[in-house]
Amino acid sequence: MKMYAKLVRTFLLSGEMPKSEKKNKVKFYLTLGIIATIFIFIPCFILMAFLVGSTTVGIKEEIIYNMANQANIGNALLLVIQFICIFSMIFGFNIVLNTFYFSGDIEHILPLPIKPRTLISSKFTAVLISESVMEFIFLIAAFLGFLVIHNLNITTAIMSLIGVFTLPILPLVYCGIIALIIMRFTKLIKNRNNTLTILLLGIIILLGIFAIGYLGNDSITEFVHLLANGQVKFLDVMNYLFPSTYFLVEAVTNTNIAAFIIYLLINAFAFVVFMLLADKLYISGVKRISNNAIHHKESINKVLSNTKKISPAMTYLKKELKILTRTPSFFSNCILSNLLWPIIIILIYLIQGQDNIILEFVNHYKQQESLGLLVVFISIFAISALLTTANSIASSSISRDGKHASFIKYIPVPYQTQLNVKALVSIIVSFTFNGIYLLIICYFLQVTFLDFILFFVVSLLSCIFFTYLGIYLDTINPKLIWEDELNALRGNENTFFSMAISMIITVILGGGIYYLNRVVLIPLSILKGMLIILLVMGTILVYSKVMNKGVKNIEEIEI
Amino acid sequence: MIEVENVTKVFNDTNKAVDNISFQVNKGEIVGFIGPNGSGKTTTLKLLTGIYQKDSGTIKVAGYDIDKEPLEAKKNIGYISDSPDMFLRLKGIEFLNLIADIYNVSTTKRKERIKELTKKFGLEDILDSEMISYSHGMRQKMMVIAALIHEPDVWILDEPLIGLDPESAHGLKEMMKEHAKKGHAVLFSTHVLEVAEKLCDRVLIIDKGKIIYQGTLKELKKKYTKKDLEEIFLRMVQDEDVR
Repeated sequence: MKMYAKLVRTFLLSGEMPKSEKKNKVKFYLTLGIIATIFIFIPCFILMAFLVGSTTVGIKEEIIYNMANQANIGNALLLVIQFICIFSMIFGFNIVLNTFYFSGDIEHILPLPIKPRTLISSKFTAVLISESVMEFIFLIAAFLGFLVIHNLNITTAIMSLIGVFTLPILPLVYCGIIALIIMRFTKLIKNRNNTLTILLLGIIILLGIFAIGYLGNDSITEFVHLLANGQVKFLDVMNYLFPSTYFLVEAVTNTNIAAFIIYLLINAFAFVVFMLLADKLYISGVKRISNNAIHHKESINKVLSNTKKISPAMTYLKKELKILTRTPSFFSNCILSNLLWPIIIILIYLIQGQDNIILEFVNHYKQQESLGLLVVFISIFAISALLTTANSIASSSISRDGKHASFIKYIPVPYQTQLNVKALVSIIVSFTFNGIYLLIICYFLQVTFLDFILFFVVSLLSCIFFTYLGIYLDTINPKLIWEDELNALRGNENTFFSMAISMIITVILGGGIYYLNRVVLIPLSILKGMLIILLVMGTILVYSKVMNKGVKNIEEIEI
Repeated sequence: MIEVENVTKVFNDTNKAVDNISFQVNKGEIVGFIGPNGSGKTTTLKLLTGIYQKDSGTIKVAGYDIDKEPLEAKKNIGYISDSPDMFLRLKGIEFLNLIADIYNVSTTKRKERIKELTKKFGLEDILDSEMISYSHGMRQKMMVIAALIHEPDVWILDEPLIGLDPESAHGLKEMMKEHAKKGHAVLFSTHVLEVAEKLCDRVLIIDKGKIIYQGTLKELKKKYTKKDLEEIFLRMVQDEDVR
């Protein structure tokens, strides 16, 4: 047990981002933390609590006025936690695989006299504890939103709290079992290539389609009606996949201790099954990784035939792009993640059914109504900002170099050039996806040529601005010590803060434009021009910050 | 070719990793940098290459001040770091081309150098594979080739022989001698006293950030009669501890 606790602590510490020892940097991060809490965590918490609470009120009304089944009162909560379980599984798989098989500590720990069971249980615990903060916030908010409306007492509060932290067990056990089987019996992962990442994407898309298909596309009122009557097929299917969720919701809905014990037993049983399988499959799976080193032999003359001198900047760009696309963790988080946006947007579009706000704004735009024009214009900026920061290419550009960030410092290439190339990588990837989505949006909205150019400019400027902002943040305190590549991105505060800042700026700009247009009555055409001027000025400002203070930060990096 | 004057490096305002050191590595010299773990060897080499910023003193490489003309100084350095696990997702040939492009090596010249060096280190057949599939020794050899591809004037090598098989280690030692013979300079850190004895014109012994001896090993042996190198080294370090 002692060894287990020690290992858990070690794994958690090795995944943490080292804190800067310089006072001004600590202050800077503290300020960002407070801003993020005020503008991101608290609004997300309130929104989720409100969503679950208001839907539960709707279900209650259905029960009172339309004789719906009382047993379905917790269905809004059930729906939310089942969605969180799906996301936990999707994002957890990569984490489980990296932590169990590709972490740098494996080769040091395996020769030690530690039982495989202790090793894998401690790794599993470390993964569980370091689950996304956002996930826990959403879960706590969902339970609170539900309990405030229905059945808040000490027992349900305690059960909910335990539930919040144990809920990810089952999805992670599934991830673990899949990883054990794949690594032991298949050759899907040779030298940690991208095969599995692409497979993962397939699963994400299939789950997305599956989820959309089972949700139905009726209006919100109709959807609440279906929830109240237990007619949402999605819940039925998910109850089979995550049976623990049903019992947890039953436990907090009716203060049902027996249901809660069943919930705990399901998790315990799943964990025991996982441990038994791990005992048999884990070590042999790990050993297969080392046997995967296969050299592709080729004559030197043939290899050298393609060798040609190019400029330092170009070769640096090629290096960055190759590492980004060939490293599975970087490929999935920085590139494939950009494909999630259309799925999310389609999901939002379909969930809304007849009361479709997106469709409403599209119609407003097509009819050239000012509200529609305004929303589309702000959305173009927001999508570009969020996509650029969410893929974390810019905000992890130094962090991804890890222990070899010293390369940046000893090669005879100016830091300015290196930072600009790193920025270019982010701009190329982010704007490729941005551009594609922009074309699709413009096609559906049937925008005028002038608007198309305007959207294009706004999107590009937004992309460049947030790219340099991300790079600047990463020069301040890059996460250079990590055991596996995924950890360069996971728990990287620069990535989180970059996204938080983009959200805050989007809200401020969006709100400002809305206010100026609707209240002060400044024409949208003038506001469009003002936004472009503001973006150009902001981009110049953040660019010069990177070229001066950012370069100085690089000079001070010591690794 | 390397001039270090009164250089000090302090980490976290308290830990003096390098304490007012001064030394020179002249043209045609091979100088060994010897010291116990944590004595300041790697820190000094990182200061010379511009990876770390010094707190005081001056450093010149090939006549260029590392602070005032960093790019010119770096162009003249061939550096091998203490860990070879770098850019493992790149193929061997891609890594070598990256370094050759950065150091502005012409297409013809790099082809010649890559052929020559990969043959010397027995890597010519696997250049088309990603370096993640290489063994530790292969990666170390790749780092050596990369550091030498642009024929730099000054070689700064941090434990370059670790991980090399006897044949490759011998090859590298011969290359160091040839390089020095051509009038260039080599500064390398090592723990192996026998290597330093056979290879170096002079040694620098560093302990707790201070250089406690610089000169030839012959002179050192004369000073401590009837003792082998290992004993002398231990004695010197112990004396420094007492002081």
